[in-house]
Amino acid sequence: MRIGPASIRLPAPTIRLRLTLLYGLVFLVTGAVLLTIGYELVRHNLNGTSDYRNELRKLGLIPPSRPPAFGPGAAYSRIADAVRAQLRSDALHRLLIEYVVALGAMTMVSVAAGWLLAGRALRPLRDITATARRVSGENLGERISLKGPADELKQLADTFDGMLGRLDGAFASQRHFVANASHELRTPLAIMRTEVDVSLADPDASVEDLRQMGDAVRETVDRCERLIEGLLMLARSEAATGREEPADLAALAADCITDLRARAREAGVEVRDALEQAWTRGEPALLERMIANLVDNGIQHNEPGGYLQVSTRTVGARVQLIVSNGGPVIDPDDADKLTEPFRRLDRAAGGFGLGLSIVRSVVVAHGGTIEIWAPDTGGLEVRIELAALPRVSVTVVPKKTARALTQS
Amino acid sequence: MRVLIAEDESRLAEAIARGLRREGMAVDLAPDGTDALVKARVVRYDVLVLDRDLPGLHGDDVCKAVRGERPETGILMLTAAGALEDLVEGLSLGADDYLPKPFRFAELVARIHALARRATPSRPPVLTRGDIELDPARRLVSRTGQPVELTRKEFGVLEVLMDADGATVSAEELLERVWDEHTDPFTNVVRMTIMTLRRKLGDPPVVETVIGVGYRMT
Repeated sequence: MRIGPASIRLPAPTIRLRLTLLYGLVFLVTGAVLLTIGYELVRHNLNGTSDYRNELRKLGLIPPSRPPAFGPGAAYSRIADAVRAQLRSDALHRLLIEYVVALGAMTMVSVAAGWLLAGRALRPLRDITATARRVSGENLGERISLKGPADELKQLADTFDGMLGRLDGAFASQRHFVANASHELRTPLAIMRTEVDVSLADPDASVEDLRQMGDAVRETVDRCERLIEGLLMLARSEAATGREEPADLAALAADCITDLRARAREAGVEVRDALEQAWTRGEPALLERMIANLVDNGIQHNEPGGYLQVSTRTVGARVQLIVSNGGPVIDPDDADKLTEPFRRLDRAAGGFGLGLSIVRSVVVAHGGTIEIWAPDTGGLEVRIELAALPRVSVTVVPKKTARALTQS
Repeated sequence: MRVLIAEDESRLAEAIARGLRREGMAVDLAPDGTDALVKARVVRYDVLVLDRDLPGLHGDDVCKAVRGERPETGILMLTAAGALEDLVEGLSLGADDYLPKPFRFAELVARIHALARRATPSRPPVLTRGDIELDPARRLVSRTGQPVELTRKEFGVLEVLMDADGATVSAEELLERVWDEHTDPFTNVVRMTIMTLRRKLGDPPVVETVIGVGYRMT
């Protein structure tokens, strides 16, 4: 803040003020130029040798012939010249004053009109500012929805609205995630608390009762551990460390299938594979978890006598991993939402609904794409594409080594 | 007192049921919202312990429906979302009370007792009739100051009869309010329980049989 005798409060240099001053200035300059031209034209025309002598002759004030150098004719002529010069000078002087006054008045009118016009033109900006001020993390439902022609300001407002929409979505999914995570974490706590409270409140509880309580608590702790592990894995896959190395999806898939084959047999699921080399770059532990989750889901949400097909291949500069399985028919709308955290089709089947979220998050972290499709015949098909390792190395890695590598 | 627990986490539901049964309540379980609503329509529950996040029919919808059709049933909402907005929303849907998970079991029991008492507005915390006193919260019965040891069912029957304040209560109603859904409706447990209750309360007899109708306190 400036302190001093001359601290006159200047209005804030808003765009409106600047535009107004600019309008006024432009009007003043062009007006001044125009009036100068007009003034000069008038002056020039007054100077011109007009036929005033003919008029004098008609009045008989001077002889019709050449003007005399002496005598009363000459005197008249001189008087006429002097009067004419005086009149001209007076007229020009008056004109100048009138022009200056008119220019001043019109400049003031134009400044006022400019102030109004600038305000009108900038009103949408004020709306945008007001909306932006009202919007906060808790209140992202506000939109500007600017009406009017598709000009620059409308584009700005629409862009702003679009950004608010995306932020709103992101905040909503964040809130949803936190609510779900807290629900999933509180439920096992409630179970343990109730088990312990009920058992300890019973003065006649037998050793058998207490043992049962212990079993229940241990089972619930296991559940908490799995949930926390899933959440950590999701967080880790979202923030991929960038420790990338070449990995063959075929080898990783083969390992997963081997590990889960016993479970598949138990569930009565037939496992088929069509694994062609598919080298990509990535964090092997995350890629392995991605495939394991898909295979695991394929077995878990299958039906006895169903199938699980895992295929990998390289197509041009992309590698593909396709995992499809039989099972109950899934609504295509639900299938799209399966990658949202905590989204489960069947809550009784156990699990937390994090598996496919982790898969998607790994795929996104590796710059790939994921498509989920629910065929009419039942089951689910997940198709993942990642960038192929440039300059495909054809070195055949023996399976044992590949396994040792991926397990490290 | 008869309580319905609508909770999809079977472990939690069973643990609560075990604890409440030990408190002398008749407890039924409903694993989803649809089942909960069907049961709440059929049976006159004193309290419904309702998990908000139920599969099938959402807990909020169950709450609204039960509040509309069974105004006498107290609704205690359980939820894993403990934020203030959830509490306000839950209560605005017609729940009488709200308990966030995880909760202390003793608190749950105390709140269920409070709700059951609220269901009959004039009911005092301790029921008294003649020389008999019954304290539902502490599960104590005494006659002329002498404590009487009762089983859970005997206690429940006496509570309903004292609550009826001399009106006749049918055997069916006793069965509905004191026993849970696993009881055979053609059983003679009510008669047997009345018999033992009379014996334990001693003389002069206070529970009389209204032939063909039911039982009442003298």
